[in-house]
Amino acid sequence: MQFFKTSLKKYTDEQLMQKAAEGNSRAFEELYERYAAKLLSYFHRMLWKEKELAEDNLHKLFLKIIENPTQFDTTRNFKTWLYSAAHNICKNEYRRMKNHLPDETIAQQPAMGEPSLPPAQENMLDNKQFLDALDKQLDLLSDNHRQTFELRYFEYLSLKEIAGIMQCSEGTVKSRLFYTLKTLAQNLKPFKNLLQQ
Amino acid sequence: MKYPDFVEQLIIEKEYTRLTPAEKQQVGEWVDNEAEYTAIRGLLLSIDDVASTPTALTPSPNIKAGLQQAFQKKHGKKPQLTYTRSWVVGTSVAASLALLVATIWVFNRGGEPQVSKAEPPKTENREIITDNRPRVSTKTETPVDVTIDNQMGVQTDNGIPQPAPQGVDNTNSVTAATYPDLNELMITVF
Repeated sequence: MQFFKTSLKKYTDEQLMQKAAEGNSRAFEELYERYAAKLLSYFHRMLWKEKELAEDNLHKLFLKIIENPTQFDTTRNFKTWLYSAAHNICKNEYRRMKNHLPDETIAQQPAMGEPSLPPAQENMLDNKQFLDALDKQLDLLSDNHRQTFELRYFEYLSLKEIAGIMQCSEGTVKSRLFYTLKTLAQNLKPFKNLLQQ
Repeated sequence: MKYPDFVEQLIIEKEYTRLTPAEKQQVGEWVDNEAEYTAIRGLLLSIDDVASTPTALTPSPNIKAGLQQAFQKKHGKKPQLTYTRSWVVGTSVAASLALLVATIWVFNRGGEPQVSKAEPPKTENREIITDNRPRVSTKTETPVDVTIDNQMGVQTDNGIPQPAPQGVDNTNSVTAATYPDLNELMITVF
């Protein structure tokens, strides 16, 4: 029996995952502590800012880890694997929503360069408005572009990690990122003054 | 550095006019002109602000509790015991006290004068009454340890009490004072 609580902070994600698969509940808890808040935030942004839905999917994701720990190949990067699973959950949610919602409610991706925001009083713009506008623009992007963008600029993942999650090349990730950046920069022109501060 | 593996870091750090020709060539692969560069730079800086702001989102404790239950169910184990710092401190203090008490007890026991281990009194002090008659005893002789009372001393032939030998603690010893009939008993034995 282990008498004193040894710190699990020093272990890598992969080592913790291995221990969790062997039944070490503390290793599992440590993994949860490391990623739960980040993933909740990710699901929240990716799934229409619905906190309950985000929490349900967070639970679902960690439940997968418990029930099928052998799905994780310990020679792989845990973070990439975890976000891949999160990415797949989001894709399933999008599919589910498309089946349940009438067609007209599904946002259509605007053509690049097409301004979609009404002209706004530049001096009235603030960060909150910018954030709302950014969210709206992100909702208009394709799933792949949006997820690539989120993983890069909100989760700070590397090109290699994103390529692993999205199962594409690093070149594709770069292209998606700059396509998205150009589209957003164009469509968020009313926020020009804010963006240049 | 948040984006060490691509050009975003360069775009965030430098305005277009401050780029070196090599850097302009590097970003030129992705950005068409200065206006686009400036717009993308503004966007990246704003996103960086937004993303750096800590969100108030924290997972509900119910999620963790539910997952812990699922984990126990899967692995068929009770939650592993973890010991808090106060438990460790309490146990350590108790163990130290127990060790201290045990040590004191052992030392006291070792230093305690044992009647049987006391230095046997010298022969001359023990032979209180002597005579020349041969000793006849039908009983099995049982060794009787007699030590000397400090107060009484030893009755010698000349009747002058002699002080007890030094270095012998008589605290728990059998003395003539304790047993007034000791002399009679000794006579019987010898």
